[in-house]
Order: sequence, then structure tokens, then C-alpha cells
Amino acid sequence: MDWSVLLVQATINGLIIGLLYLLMAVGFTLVFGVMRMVNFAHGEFYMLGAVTVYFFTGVFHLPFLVSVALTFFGAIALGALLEWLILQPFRRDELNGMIVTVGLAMILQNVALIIVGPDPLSMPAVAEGTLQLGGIVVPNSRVYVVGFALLVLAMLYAFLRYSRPGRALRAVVEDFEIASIQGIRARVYYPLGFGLGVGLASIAGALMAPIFSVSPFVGAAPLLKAFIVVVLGGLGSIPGAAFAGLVLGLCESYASLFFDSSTADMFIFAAVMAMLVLRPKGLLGKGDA
Amino acid sequence: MTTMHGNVLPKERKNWVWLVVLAVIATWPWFSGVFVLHLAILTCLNVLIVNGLSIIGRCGQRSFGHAAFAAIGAYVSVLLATLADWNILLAGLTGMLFSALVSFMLGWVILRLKGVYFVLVTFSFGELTRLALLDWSEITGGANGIANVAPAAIMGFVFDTRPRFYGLALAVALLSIWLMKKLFSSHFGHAIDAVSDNPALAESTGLSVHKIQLVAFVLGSSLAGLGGVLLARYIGYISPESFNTSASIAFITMFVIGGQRSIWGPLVGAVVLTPLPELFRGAVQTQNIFYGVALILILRFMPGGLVSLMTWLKGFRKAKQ
Amino acid sequence: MSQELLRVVGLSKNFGGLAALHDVSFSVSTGEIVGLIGPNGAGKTTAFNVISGTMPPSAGTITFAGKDIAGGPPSKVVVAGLARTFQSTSTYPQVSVAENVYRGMIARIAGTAVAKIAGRTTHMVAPAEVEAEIDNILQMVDLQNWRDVPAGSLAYGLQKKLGIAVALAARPTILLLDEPAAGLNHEECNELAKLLRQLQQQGLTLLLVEHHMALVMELCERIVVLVQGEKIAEGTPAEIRGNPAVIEAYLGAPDYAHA
Repeated sequence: MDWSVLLVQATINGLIIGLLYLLMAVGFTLVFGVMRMVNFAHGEFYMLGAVTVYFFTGVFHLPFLVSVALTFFGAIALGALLEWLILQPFRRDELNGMIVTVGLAMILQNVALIIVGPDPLSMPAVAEGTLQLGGIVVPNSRVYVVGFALLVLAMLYAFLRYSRPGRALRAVVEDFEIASIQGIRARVYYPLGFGLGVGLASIAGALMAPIFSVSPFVGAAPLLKAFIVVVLGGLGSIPGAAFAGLVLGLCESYASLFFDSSTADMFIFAAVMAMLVLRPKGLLGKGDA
Repeated sequence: MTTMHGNVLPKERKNWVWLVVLAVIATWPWFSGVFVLHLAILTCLNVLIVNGLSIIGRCGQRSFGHAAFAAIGAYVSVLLATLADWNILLAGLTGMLFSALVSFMLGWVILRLKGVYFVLVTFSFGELTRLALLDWSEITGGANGIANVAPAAIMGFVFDTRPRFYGLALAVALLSIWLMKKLFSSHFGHAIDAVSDNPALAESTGLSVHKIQLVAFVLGSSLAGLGGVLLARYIGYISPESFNTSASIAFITMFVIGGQRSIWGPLVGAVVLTPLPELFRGAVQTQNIFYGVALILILRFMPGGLVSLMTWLKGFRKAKQ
Repeated sequence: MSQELLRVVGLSKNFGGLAALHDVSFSVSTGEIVGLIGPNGAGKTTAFNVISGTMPPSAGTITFAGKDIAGGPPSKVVVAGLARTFQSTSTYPQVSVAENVYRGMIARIAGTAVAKIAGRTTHMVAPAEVEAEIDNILQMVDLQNWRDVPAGSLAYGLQKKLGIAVALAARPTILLLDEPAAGLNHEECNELAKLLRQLQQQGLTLLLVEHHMALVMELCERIVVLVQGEKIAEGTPAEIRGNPAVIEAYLGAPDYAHA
């Protein structure tokens, strides 16, 4: 058993999963930061992303990158529309708003079940062949996925850092009161925040579709992961979510070398509970408990 | 108007017509087939469990892990009876006690969290419990669960047929409703409302917010525990998936749709939602879409739940007179 | 002579690096009306918060009726006989005036959780007695005509009276009032003075924080002056009025108007 090979392999897998968690968590924390709402439908947007990309590539035969882009912008639009139509009355009412997202999740998942059926579908391969680095073998499709994910992250970073709406969004996430004093309008930033947040979830689903299977049930696990990452990294902190996402991915990957998954999962949930009780702001977050 | 038995919020008055209707509905299952009895039993157990949720809800908290306490009650009572050969009644009561104990320890720590943070913690606790039940498979049977659970028996009388068990379930459900009435018209009920409306003021008048919330949490979770105990004895089989997040969310759904601010909310919610799958006859997806839509519509247009619809109807009728 | 009911010695309270209170000592004897005055930021409300147990002191002792009450929690302090009102109106707005008073009583009449659930009361058994007690308290503050009105719909001055009624429901031996005259017009102020004097006659001891100087000078037998967390003077109204340090720090020219 060559431990160095296993470790490198685990690192690569961990980073890939970590990127997925990061995308989910940043989107989730964006929604929480802007709307103080825990979005129970977040996982279903991941699922929608996967299913949509499956249709674009498998049925309409569009190239992968194009499908992903269409999915992303479609998801942002859908998210903004849903926020404006359904979530608007609950902007100040976190608790009931959260239950509304539970209802939304039920609707999304079951609509998908009616259209697609319960069986898993597999995507056509994004790319053939593998990449060889020393003793490590990485399928090319994964390399592409990682590349696209990093591209999305770069674009997100640039948007949040350098564009006016992006900076305003960050301001709203970091401190809503101050942002509203500065005149940042809720009418624009609530739908934008929600749309972008669930758009990131959809892109995570779309990018991971070639790696994992596609079915209406794939949303549950990423939702849990988003919760975990965001609580540990800090509700309302984008860097915290990003950092914690990568760390969780890597930790899970390494832990799987030594423990079985359910023990690791239990430990993680216990850590989440402990964090909520001891330091609800998470490692880097803001917001009051 | 005395303050001991009501406040400014509208009070639902039960007149004789309603009582007769309820009595008829309650006894009807005994004269119908096995399937109606089955639904009626499940409805009664849901009434019990959601009543527990409503005690917690009245304090302003939403527990998304309520099913975990049902699981604790179920597993502890079943294991004590099968592995340690305990008397079934005693095992059941101990199961409920365990739910109370765990909720006490958990509540002591988490009740100071508010709103969404409390939701996330209870949600995590629900997942943690489910994973623990899966993981400790030598004791719990893991994913396979525990089958062949003996039927409930109290002092030799065995509830091994559906009509008999319905009698037990109905009695427990009615008892839980009676408990709700007694609780919320007592000093404690008013204290809970005070704590929920203005905790700083309540504390400054001598009410210990922490203690009151804790008692409410323990009471509510114990009712869930009892529900779990009875469910195990009825179905004859328990597994971690019987008490997963979907179950917790189902209880919240019943609570919200029935009516978050009324004693009768859990009853209405359970009665309306438990038999619903039968109406949809296997079109599970359509049924779930209906749940989701109903949830959103109720929260948007009728936040008081279906119960408030009846109050509104009564007001409408009075206005017409 | 009347004995000491509340005694505060060396009270200090720090928030991070800021000393909100520093080495403050004073006492209140049974049956007195004592005023606590000072400019904004002097630490008056902090003193109330610490004394009533809402927050623990950083140093010093608080003795009430011979018992050390520092550290609270507020619910225990109230049960010992010390009640307070808040600066902003604190009522339960969605329920009736009577229900508000009733909620103020619950801790007193049904102390333990079991008593609360079982409905057993320690002092009063029948609901009729509870109702009578509520009416009693409402009459004390002259709110009996608004008995069934939702508290939130009351005029501001009446809401402040309700706040006092809720505190009275606990039947305290000493009542701490935090700016009871804030926002009241001239007539309401006179009513308040009358009410407080009546309460004193009925045996209640009062400690009030106020900016309304006319009210303070008229009502209080002794005054304690805080400036930036420290006590700079203590004495009768006449002494305080003439105290140069107080005048400079707070009162300004002798010809002052109420805040």
C-alpha cells in the first residue's frame, strides 16, 4: 500500500468535493446573509442544476460548458423570480420564511420526480481519457469539472470584489443595517441575493452531474453539507463558508481512509451542534444568535 | 371576562354541535374497515406528537428534530422489553422518561438560542440521533431496525387488534388535548405566553425564562416520546428511517397548517393531513406538491392555520345575522 | 428610625475597557423616596440593571433586606421583593391590561413550575381572588377603566402607568423606576407624582432615576448624583441644588427647566 499515492489521491478527491461544498455553502450563506433566512430548498436547486444540465447535454446535445452557463443564468433568473413571487412577504419573518422554503423544496423535488422519474440517470461523459501525474490517475472529466469550478469561483470573486452590485451585495451580507442606511435597495438585492445564492447551488449540481448520478433525490445530501459548512464557517461569512467548505471536503476525504462514513458523519453533526451552542457565529461569521 | 380563562386573542368556543360531531367522527372508525381504523390510529398518534410540538412552539421555538424524541421513546421502550425482558407498560413509561431526560439535557444548553439557530440545532440533533441509531447496530439493529415488536399490554389486557389499539390511541390523544387545555389555561400557560411575548419583561416580573422554556421543551418532547412508544407497539417494527428528518418536517407541517396559535391546531392539522395520502391514492408526488403549496399558501394568507378559518367563518356568520 | 432596605457598596461595572460604574455606594431606607440623577451616560440605567440582577457587577456588593442579591437572576431578585420598570414602555401589547397585570403576578402566586401547572397558588386559591387582586392594582394606578383594552392601543402615558402596575403586581417592598416621567406632559407628570406619593404612603420604598428635575426635587427625600459612573454628591434636594460640583456637572444655572 503506497500511502503517499493514497494521500495524494485523497487530497485531490477532497479538493474536488471541497469545491462542491464551497459552491453550495457560499450560495447558502449569501441567502442567509441577505435575507437572514435558512433556505431549506437549497439542495433542490442543486438537483435542478444537475437535471437541467442532463437535459441540455443528453437531450439537446449542447456542449457541456454551454449547458452549464445556461443552467447558471437560468437558475439565477428562476431564483430571483421565486423570491419576488413567493418569499417577498417573509423578508422580515425568518421563521415562517424558512418553513416556506421547506414547502418550496417539496414542490421542486416532486415536480422533478414527475418529469424525470425516480431512477438515477447518468450523464454522457464530458471528456474522455485520463490525466497521469506521476503515479496518480485523474479522469479528464474531473479535470474539466475542477477547471470550470475554479473559473466560476474566479468570476464570483471578481463580481463580489470589483463590481458595484457585487460590492453592494457583500455589504448587505456583512451588515444589513448599515447597507440600508447607505441606500442599498432591498427591492433589488433580495432577489439578486437569493438568485445568485441558488444559482451557485445549481452550478454545483451542474458541475457535479458528470461525476455523480443525476436524480430528483440528489439534493438532500448537499443541503446537509451546506448547513454543516455554513454553521462551522460562520453564518453570513462568505470567506468563512469558502474556507470551511474546502476544509470539510479534505477532512472527509482523509477521514474515509481511516473511519467509516457514519462515525465521521456523527462526529460532524456533534461538532455542528457544539459550534451553534458555543459560538453561533461560527469561526468567521457575523450575525447575532 | 376573567383573565384566568382567556385573553384578548379570540377564543374558540366549543358548543354542543361540535362536540357531537367530534364524538361521531371519533367513534366512526370502529364501524368501518381495517383501513379506516389504521388511519384513525395514525391520526391519534400524530395528534399526540404534534401537541407536544405545539407546547414548544408556544414558547416561540420551532423544533425541527421532534421526531428524534419519538425515536428515543420507541427504541428505549422496545429494547428494554425485548433485551431486558421488562414489563411492557414499565418499558413504555421508561422510554418516555428517557425522552424527557435527553430533552432536559439538550434543552438546558440550546434553549437560549433563538429562531433559526434553534431550528438548525434541533435539525442537527435529529440527524445525529438517526445516525447514532444506524451506527450502533449491535444494539439497535442498524438500518434493519427491530421487527416483531410485541403489542402493547396494560395489566394483562393486550392491544393486539386494531379496534383495541384504536381505543388506546384515541384515549391518549384525547388525554393530550385535555392536557393542552389545562396547561394553557393554567398559570403556566400564561407564563409561557408572557415569556414568548416579552422575555425581558417576564424575567423582570419574576418569571424565569430559562426554566419555563425548559419545562415546556421537556413536556413537549415527552409527548413525542410517548408517541414513539405507542407507534412501535402498533406497527410492530421500528427503524431509524421511521423517525427521520421527513418525519420531523411532517410534524411541523401539521403544526403550521393546523394552526400555530391555537390549542386545536394540532388536532386539525393531524386530522387533515394524516389521511390525505389516501385521497391521492398513490400519486405521492402530487400529494407532496399539494403539501408544499398548502404550506406556502397557509403561511402567506392564513398564518393562523386552518383553525383560524373556522373562527373567520363564525365571525362571518355572526355578521350576516 | 427606619432601617436600611437596600445597600450598595463599592459597585463597579466594566464593559470591556469602559467603566460604566466605579465604586458607587449608597443606601435606601425603608419608606424613603430616593432619586438617582445625573447626565446621560452617567451610569444610572446600568446601576439599575446591576441592582435588579439583569447583569452581574464587576465589583462591589448589593444587599437587599439583609440578603446579597448581586448577580441575580432577575427572577430571583423580584421574588425577594425588588421590582423595576424600564425606560421604554414595557408591556405585553397584544393582550389586555388586566392580562398584563396578571402576568406580573404569576411568579408571586405560583412560584414553582408544578404550582403553575397544577393551578395551585400559594397566597390565593380561587380565580376570583386573583381577579380581585388585579382590580386592586389597577385601581392603584387608576387604570381600571381600561381593564379589557389591548395594552398596545393605550396612550403613551397610560402605557407607562401600566408598566408600573405590572411591577406592582409582584407586590415588591422596593420599586426601582427608570425615568417614569419621560415623555409625559405636565398633567401626566402631576398624576405620576401623586401616584408615587400614594405608593409611599402605602409602605412602598422608591428609588427613581429621572431627568425631570422639578419632579425629583419635589418628590425625593434624598438624591444621589452620578457623573460618568461615579457618585459625586448625595444629600437632600436643598443640599444638592446648592452643590457647586453638581451644578457644574449637571444642573447648570439655578434656574433650570425640566429636561
